[in-house]
Amino acid sequence: MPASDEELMLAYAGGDAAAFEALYARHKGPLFRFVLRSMKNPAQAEELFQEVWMRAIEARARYRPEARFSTWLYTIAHNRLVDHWRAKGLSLVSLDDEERAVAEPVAPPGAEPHANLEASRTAEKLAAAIAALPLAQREAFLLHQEGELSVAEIAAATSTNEEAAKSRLRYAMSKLKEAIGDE
Amino acid sequence: MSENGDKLGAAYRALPREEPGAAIDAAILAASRRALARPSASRRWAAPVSIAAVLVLAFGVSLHMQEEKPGIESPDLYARTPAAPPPAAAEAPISAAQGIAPQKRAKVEVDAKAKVQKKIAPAPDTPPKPDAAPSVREEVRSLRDEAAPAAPLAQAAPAVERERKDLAKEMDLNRAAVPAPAQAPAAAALSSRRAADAMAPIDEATRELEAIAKLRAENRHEEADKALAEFRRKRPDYRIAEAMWERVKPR
Repeated sequence: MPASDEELMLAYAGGDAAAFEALYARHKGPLFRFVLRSMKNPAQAEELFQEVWMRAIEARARYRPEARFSTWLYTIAHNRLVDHWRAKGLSLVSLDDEERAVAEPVAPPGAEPHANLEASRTAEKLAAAIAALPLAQREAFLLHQEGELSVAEIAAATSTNEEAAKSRLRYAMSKLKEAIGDE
Repeated sequence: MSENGDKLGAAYRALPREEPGAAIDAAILAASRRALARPSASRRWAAPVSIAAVLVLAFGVSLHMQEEKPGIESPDLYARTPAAPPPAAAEAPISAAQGIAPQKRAKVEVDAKAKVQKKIAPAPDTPPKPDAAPSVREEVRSLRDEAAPAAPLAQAAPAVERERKDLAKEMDLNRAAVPAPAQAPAAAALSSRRAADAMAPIDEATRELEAIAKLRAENRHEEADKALAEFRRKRPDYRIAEAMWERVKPR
């Protein structure tokens, strides 16, 4: 049975380099897409992605498996994103602001050619709709989809309460379903 | 999960699955290996913290010893006992129990004997109580037992045992204030970390942020920037409240 994320992180903190490699292989893709789809600039996204892992490496001795490793990792990513948004003059209050979402659009995920034209159009619409979401709603949605975090874990990672996290996720999903004609 | 959720989930999963480039992977994995080769911050500080703890403890014990009345053996005591306890043998049960560094054994031993002496020798102006005789005999017996070479700890006389426990309690109180010096550096770092964790990590973080805010208020922005970067490096998962961020954010 493969080791859990928490076991791998504790093993790495104990000096096992291979444990980190396994952990990185599991989470690099989802975390990368989370960061990439949260930011405007892909180069900045790559830089922030590296920073998140560097901070996780530095903080390995302080890691405690009281919560899931994913929650811990995405909390670091969230905090780093918040620092990035603050540097752009965005306060946390404005993360839910619909108008701000328009002012800070992110590059939509590149659309790959689909054999099915309909599927391709759906993908494009979804990508654009995700990019147009307010920051907090987009983040909640991406944490749910990429990080596979529950509502409670999203709340913990974003330092908010469960009601707010649930509300953001619900609004995000509602808008995205509307965008792909799934209402 | 509802069908609507499934459809949205399926549509999301159909989006491109971007991955970091090989260069980024290599850089992060190399950093993870380098970090293991370099001791963590807690381990870097283990030796200096342990040394500081030893010095503080030694100073505290010395102060404590000075407060106690001197407990040099009195002629009366040896007049009652058939053989004077050899210091080396008497050290064994007490110092072994205390785990005290060799250079401190003499002081601890003197202190222990002083306390025993206080119990044995009655005050000059007070006649010995009738029921003191058996306890005195007991104390004498205990001192005779101390003279036995390498007396095992379990066979220590009750009075000496009591004294040992009292001193152990005092040592424990001191140890609670500072990390135990006799522990290996890794264990000392662990107990230091646990003590630090028990403290109120939020208060510590707040103090650091207040210091950064003070630097900003004094227009010492370069120092503040460095301190903020270091804060973020140490506490990547700490959420800085909005009000505090306004005071510490880069200008």
